[in-house]
Amino acid sequence: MKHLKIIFLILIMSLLSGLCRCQSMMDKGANIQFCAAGTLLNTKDQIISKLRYKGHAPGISLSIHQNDKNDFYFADLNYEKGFYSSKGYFNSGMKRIDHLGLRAQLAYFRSFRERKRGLQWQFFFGGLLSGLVDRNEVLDFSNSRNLTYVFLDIAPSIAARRPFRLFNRNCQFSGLLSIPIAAYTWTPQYGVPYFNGRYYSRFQSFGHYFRIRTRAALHCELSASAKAFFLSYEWDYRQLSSKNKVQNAAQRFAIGLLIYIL
Amino acid sequence: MKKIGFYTVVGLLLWSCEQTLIKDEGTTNPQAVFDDLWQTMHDKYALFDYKHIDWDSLRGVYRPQMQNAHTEKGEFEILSSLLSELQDGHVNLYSPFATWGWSIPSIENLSFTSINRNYAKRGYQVNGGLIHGWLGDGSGIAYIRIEHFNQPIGGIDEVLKKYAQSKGVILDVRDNGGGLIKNAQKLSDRFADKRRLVLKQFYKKGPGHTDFTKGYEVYTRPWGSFYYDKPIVLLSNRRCYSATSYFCVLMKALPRVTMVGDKTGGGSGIPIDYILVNGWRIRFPASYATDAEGVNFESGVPPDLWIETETDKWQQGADPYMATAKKIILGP
Repeated sequence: MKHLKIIFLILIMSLLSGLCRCQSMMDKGANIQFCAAGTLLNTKDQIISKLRYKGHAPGISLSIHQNDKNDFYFADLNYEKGFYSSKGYFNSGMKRIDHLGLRAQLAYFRSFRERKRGLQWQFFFGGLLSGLVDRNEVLDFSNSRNLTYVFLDIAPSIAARRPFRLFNRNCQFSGLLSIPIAAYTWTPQYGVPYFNGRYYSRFQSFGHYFRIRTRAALHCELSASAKAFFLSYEWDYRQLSSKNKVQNAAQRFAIGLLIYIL
Repeated sequence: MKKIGFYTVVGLLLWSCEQTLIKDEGTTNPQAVFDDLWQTMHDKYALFDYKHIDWDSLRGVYRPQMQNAHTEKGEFEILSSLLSELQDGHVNLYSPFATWGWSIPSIENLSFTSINRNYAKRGYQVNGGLIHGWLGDGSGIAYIRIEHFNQPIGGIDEVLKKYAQSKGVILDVRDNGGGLIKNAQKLSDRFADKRRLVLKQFYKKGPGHTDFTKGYEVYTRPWGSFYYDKPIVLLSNRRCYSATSYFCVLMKALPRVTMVGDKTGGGSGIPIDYILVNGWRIRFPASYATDAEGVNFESGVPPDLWIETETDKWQQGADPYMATAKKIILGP
């Protein structure tokens, strides 16, 4: 019951932060977006410990968007590399936990509440296919263990966008909320040795795999013809409890440049 | 400004929600530390059944003692005592102030001084972790010693080419405490004649004491520029542990290899580690392995030819293992 309340609370907050805020597209044809991102990581992996540990990972991202009046789609690729630290680890010979994250996403959205005119909210419904590789290498004084998780999930999603004028420039808020309904995972075995580790791959049911992702973005045109800058914030929470319980939360802050190609 | 305030509040709510979802269970409470260690071992240690250990009853013995420990060092002593019941050389407890481990009882039955003085009179060379030379008695027997498997074995092809015309090779792994299995496997593969099943590995797949995966089969994979087809005698003792026990299993499966000496120290499980809720670390095996016939070699790999260790002979500088190895290679 307590968990249901928390999930409900997250849903409400995600709706608020996702829908009332932002996503990433200007209503203006195809564009490419480059950005530098900084991610705050928060993880607990029972293969390693019951301790929660925090991390930082700078990264880069490349996206291609196609925006039309009544639909949009995008493909993006993220790469991040950083490390976790926790006071608990360094007491007992643990050097560090290195983190590598790779993510590819494909999405298609269609408007279900059309914009009749001018500066209004527009709402979309769509699907998001996401592939994620999360690799944490636990380094201690004599050995290392690779804990690699691969997730492939498909999620019905909703998005919203609202154009507005700021300092005489065209700007746009956008938001996205995504909750997967099906996932295929590739995860380390129950006890992961220093070497000869095995992996399990399987479809995960909703009870064992839960993920929620919200993204908010603000775009503002720099010039009417070619460029815009954007700021975005993403919160991505993931929980897997089929063997060992693993929880990850990532807060990704990004700043980037958008270039129109059509 | 109102909007900025609203978004900041929502962001902070998300952040606090995240802290609620991912609870940090870190604590220095002695009972909680004990429970974390006991439960983790209960769920993931692979050898309770093999060793006939009643882990539940040990909890009843040691957990009450934690209340009277009073100091971290006292807690460390109690946890070490609990782990010592396993009598497992792959089990360790690490804290900022001490490390605990268990050693297999063994006797002195190797003297490199004796080998250098009485057998390797013509000196030795060192190549990529291999210490090798001709026996100095003109018998035409090569002697190769491997002290550990921590690093990849380099130059084995060149070393074997050097001894291609020898009558046989003595491979001495006594007192080799182990290292990486892949290094041991790479070296044993160099002596392999063909692909053959040599061992099976079983990994924990759930918290039950008998929850194991199917046996993952390991095969020899011959490599190298030529096949060494002379007799090989492998010398072992109780101080051969972990990857060295693997090496002995792999070598014993090959033709022309005779294992001589004492049973190895065992150590078939591959260790994992885990951080306890107070930041200390434990290390323990979460798997075990058997030879091709299905015999778990956790307690040691028996030799083909067992040699009784007579302490007085060792003290006189003799090495009965070396003498026996020579007899096997040269024949009657």
